[in-house]
Amino acid sequence: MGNSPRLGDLPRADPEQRFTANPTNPRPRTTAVENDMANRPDAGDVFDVRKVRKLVELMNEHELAEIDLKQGDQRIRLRKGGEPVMMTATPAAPVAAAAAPAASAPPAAAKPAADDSNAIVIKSPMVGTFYASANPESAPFIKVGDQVGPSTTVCIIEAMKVFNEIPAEVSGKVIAVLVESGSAVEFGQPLFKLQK
Amino acid sequence: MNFATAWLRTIEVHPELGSTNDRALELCGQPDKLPALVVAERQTAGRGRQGAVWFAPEGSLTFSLAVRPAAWGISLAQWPALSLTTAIAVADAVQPLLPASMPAQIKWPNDVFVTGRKLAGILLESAPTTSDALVIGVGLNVNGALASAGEQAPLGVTLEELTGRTHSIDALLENFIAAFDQRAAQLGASDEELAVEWNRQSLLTNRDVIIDLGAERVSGRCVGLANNGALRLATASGERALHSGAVASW
Repeated sequence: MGNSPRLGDLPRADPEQRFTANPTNPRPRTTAVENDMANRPDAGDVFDVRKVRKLVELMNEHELAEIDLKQGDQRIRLRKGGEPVMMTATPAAPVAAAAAPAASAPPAAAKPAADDSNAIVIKSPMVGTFYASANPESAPFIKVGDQVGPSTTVCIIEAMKVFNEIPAEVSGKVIAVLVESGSAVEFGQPLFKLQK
Repeated sequence: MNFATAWLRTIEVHPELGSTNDRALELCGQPDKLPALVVAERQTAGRGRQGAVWFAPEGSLTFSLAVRPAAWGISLAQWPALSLTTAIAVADAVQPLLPASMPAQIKWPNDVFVTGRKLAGILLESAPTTSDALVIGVGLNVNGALASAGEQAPLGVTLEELTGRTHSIDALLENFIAAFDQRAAQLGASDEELAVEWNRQSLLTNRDVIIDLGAERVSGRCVGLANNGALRLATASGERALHSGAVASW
């Protein structure tokens, strides 16, 4: 069959990037600064300032316009551009104040990704629509903080009504969900970030 | 059932089953049973896209195939085209029963329509633990009347309603199984005749459509289906090839 496209083949990369993530534009990487958060006692608190900084770095690395995380009744929402960082947290007001400067730094000046020796990205194996859960009423397959194994289903990618359950194929703890459910994804687009 | 189509290794016929796709997905965990066919004489919890309920009245044919597409030389990248390929096989099975004035049409990517009404729906799901296997679910309205179903199936139609007589569900299933084997072989061989066929039968071609992509809606005129099965849409900003999305209006 060689390299010529076969009937039914989907493009392996679509130049029409409708998404904020841009996997074809890797950022320079530097030494890890704070990649051991999972081992710290406060690792479960999404409002930890180090975690916020990490999220901002993730946003920059993957050129995400927005990150919206929920954990219990806490929520953190980071958005790039003219708007300030928004947080709706009941128990963590002081941290929110401390977090703002980290996120309001312009993307270009932000520290390059401070990690990645320990991070694994799960990428989309195909073009299609990303679904975080089996149906709109059910809980997502995985969320930030979950431990996954190689056979854990992380999402469904649908193309032309073919619903493919995507296994993690790696082990680790979920540190970021990079795509919103119902969004179109390209081949190779980062979907999740895990920590080994 | 006595199939002339011997390529199946397992055939299960259930008087009643929640979802044939669920049972077929289970069989994917027993590789020695594939390829398998699961038929439900009555399906109580059929599923459509993203958990939508598939309304299956008495007289409908609901079944799922659990197959390894690689057996026909179909690569993973070609899996999405199996939706259209299956729809073509359904059309192959029903067309001989219909008058020439009622051509079966494929509504991208996975429905079969006749006279503008839906005769069959298709849902394909992969089994994560056995990544080489795929389940193809088909719901085909054969006997009975959907008019009585009212709002549950406003666009549906049965073969009986179209032809004025009842049809053998077993014979239809046999015809589909044989047709699917041939069409899957065409896909695996990259036979462009298959793409000619899905373009010939395309319901949406030359229609103005709106496609819901989740994050955005795009509108334009459908100018055909690509060789990889993508919907070719002429929009104000040029032609786009869509690989997923729901047809919101047409």
